[in-house]
Amino acid sequence: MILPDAREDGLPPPVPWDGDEPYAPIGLPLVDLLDRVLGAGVVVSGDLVLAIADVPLVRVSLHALLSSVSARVPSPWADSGPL
Amino acid sequence: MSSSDTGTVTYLFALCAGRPPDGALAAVAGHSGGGPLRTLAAGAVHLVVQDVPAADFGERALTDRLNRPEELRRCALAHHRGVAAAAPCGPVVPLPMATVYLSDGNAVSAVASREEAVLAVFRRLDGRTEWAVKVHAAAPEAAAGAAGSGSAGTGGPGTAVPGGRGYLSRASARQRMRRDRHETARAVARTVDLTLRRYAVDATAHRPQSEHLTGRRAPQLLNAAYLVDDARRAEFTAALDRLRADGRLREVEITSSGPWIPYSFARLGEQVPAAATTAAAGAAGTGAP
Repeated sequence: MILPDAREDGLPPPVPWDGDEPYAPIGLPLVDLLDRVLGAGVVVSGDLVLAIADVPLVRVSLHALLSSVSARVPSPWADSGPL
Repeated sequence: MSSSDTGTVTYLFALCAGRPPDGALAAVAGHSGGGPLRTLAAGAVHLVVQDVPAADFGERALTDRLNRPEELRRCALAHHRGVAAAAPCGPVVPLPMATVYLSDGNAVSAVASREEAVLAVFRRLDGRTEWAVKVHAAAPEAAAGAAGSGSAGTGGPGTAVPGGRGYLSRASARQRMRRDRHETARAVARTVDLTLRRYAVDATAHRPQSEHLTGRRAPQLLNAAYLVDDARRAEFTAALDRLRADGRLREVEITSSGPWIPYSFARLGEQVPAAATTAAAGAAGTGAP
């Protein structure tokens, strides 16, 4: 999987969404975006379809992505959790 | 306009306090294969929605699509465009990607039943944006070069004790050094977090991203989001700059992006219950012995 956020040249520029060309995919830190569009936001449930397309589903696919990743690239810091 | 006979469902991007102009929304490309973005109203809350093909947004189809990185990327960007389209018109509350309703009516009633809670989130997010800050340990080779130049080569001129014993002591020294460096880096990450929290209304942590996702060879120590008042934005970014320039924080690399629409702080009724619980506990406490 190739993600555009895999930059090695230091700091990503700020990504304004209130500028002239605010939504250009180039420069948008996609992994940060995925953190947000998958893991955050108000959950307004109450519909059959939403119950299906709700957080569990999205979590499942995110886990699928992440676990396929971590199986290939084991963390060197097995003991380190979130601070 | 969504209905099962046209084969479309209602995709909900965001809720907003002000009604975005139709023209502005129509100019935004939502999900591919869907109709133009439009708004619905649920009381004082406006919904930014799009008719999308039911076949692409069913359970099976979504699971399949979101597990393909390129589709996931397209979907996430389309979602973000829809959310961002509403941002210029006052506070906006994003919904998680893939929030889909069978019909407009279902979407409206789902939101209407939570109108008060949504309005409370508007008030909380108004005039505030989110900033993403990640802290990584410095790249291993750079850190090793700085810390142990000269004794890095095995069997080089720096080796005092020859043989197996020498090897073992060098190995344990290396391990100790690495452990110390990690400890220091984690402490520095905590310092960064505490410093930035002083300029933020709220802060939250996302799960640290794997090295594969970040494309770096150093572990991620902090993946945080800060909710910052627009009035304090300059202070916040200045604090970030100072942290980056601080020579004592060389063990880590700080990256940031923003301003973001406050995705990470759009939660229904979380701050309210916290206050309510305290108040209730206090009230109950007066009656207790």
